[in-house]
Amino acid sequence: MSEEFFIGWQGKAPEAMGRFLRGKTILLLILAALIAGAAAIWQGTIGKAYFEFGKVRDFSGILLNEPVPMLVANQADETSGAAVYYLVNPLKFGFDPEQAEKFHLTNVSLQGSLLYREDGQAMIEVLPDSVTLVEGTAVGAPLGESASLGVQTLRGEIVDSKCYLGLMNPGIGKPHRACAIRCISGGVPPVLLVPNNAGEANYFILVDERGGAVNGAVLDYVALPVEITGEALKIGDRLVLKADPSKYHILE
Amino acid sequence: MSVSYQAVGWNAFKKKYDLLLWAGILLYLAIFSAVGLALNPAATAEILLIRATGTAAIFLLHMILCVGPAARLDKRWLPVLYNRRHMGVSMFLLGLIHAVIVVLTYHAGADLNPVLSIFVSDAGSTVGTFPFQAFGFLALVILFLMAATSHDFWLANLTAPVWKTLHMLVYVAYAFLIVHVVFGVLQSETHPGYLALLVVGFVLVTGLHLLSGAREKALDRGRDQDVAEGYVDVCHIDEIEDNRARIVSLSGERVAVFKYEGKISVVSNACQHQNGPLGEGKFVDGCITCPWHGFQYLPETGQSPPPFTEKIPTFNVKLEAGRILVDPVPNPAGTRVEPAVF
Repeated sequence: MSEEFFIGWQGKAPEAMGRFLRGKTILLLILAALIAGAAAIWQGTIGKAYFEFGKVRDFSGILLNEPVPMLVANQADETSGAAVYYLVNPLKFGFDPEQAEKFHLTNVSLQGSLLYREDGQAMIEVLPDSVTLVEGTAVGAPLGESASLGVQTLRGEIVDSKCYLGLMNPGIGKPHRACAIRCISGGVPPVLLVPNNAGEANYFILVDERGGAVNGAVLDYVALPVEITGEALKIGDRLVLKADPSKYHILE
Repeated sequence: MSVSYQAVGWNAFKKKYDLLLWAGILLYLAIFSAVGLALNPAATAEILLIRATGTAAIFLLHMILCVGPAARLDKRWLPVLYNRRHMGVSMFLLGLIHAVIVVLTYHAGADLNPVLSIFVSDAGSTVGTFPFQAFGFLALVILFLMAATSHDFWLANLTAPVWKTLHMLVYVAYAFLIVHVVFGVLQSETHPGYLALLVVGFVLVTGLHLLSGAREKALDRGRDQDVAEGYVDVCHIDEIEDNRARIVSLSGERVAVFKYEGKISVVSNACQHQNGPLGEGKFVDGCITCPWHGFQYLPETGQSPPPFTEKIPTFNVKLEAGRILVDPVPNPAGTRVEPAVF
């Protein structure tokens, strides 16, 4: 019996041992490649959402403070096809409330980067201090007429609208929960995603019964399956859900 | 056997080992990213990197945990075990990249300290609020301590028992990472393939450990010697191959009985470096040589040849009609014992 003996500091494995390891190394590399490919293929939560990071555009239109800061643009942009944009600040912060109030229902121009999903929902990450007043004010209801859809009980997931619209992708689910909490805590509008029959999701902007922001009150419910009962409104093509956050119900 | 602080004592084998290791890691990251981007053009680079490095680290951790028992079951894996710490440090680096991008992406740029955010954002007891990120953070701390102390400089300064205990925490880190994955990304990415891979990995790790443990136990039963007063008859000299050893268990303590150059010497079976099984080693260049990392000891004294300073206990030995008789009481480490000559 003359079994091979490996000594690491000698710098070379014995011949038969080397042959064995060469075969196993090739198998392990193939296994690593297969697992990498499979793990990438199995991903199911990455949506069709985009953020034009670093690309700053000019936008103009009517700025609204309610139900959440938005811009109703003079014309739809070609990339997203949207003419209505949620407004937020850079990083994990909502649009400056003072500015939103100051420019409410006025004609403005601003600069920012576009976030959008292929379903037509869009947002602008506004460049700080880029909002300027332009001649003219809003006439009527820029977002469209408001109609009550009655009291409804809806089930879905609360997400931060910024990440969901493309800042992060995926911007939903447990791994993203901490980020969504921080974004909503920082003022980004919370949205209830309610799956619809088309396999997509309806967006309900969440506000309290009086139409006020609920950001601080919904943090414990973010990225969890929830049931919310409240009055649903349709303002133009936007959906809004007015409900008392203390009555939200976690389903897990 | 050097404990001076030299980053790595490179040789051709180690260079090849690390080259293949990092080729494998880069291959994994490239395939994950390319396939992920091809199928999901809207995916962002940071999310793909988080996922690629995270899954690569878990894959590598399974390899790290499997190679030990695999080498116990089949010695041909010993060269992989030899540089296992390089795999460990690489795995830590993957985990660190994963964690840094996670913190920058999910926690930074907000209204709270990003590190604090890791712990307060998920702090509940339900599946949806379970603090999976805290478990990932704690696992990374363990892996950092292991990576930072992986050099033999720390092994010598911390002492082998402390170092070994610290590095056994890899099993705690593994458990934490299982929790991190199961209560984290698997709550969102629900393809059954992920869970299946994790289960297969767990079964492989535990199965190999149980199998090698059972084999060791069975071998120990065969090695057990009745210890009465005085010397114990352990075997006949013909039962040991030249330049090799037979491991016997005296009162539960494994000793290595070496046969070399017409002599018999008996030393503790545990290498001072990392408790490697010296009895599975070989007599090379006048020294007992550990099969794990090549640490060497002079058979008569249990001391590493100068300038090295490692020492292991020796045992008194004598021969009677070809039978090897060993005194089960160990001598202090490094004590010279005259070999039995035949």
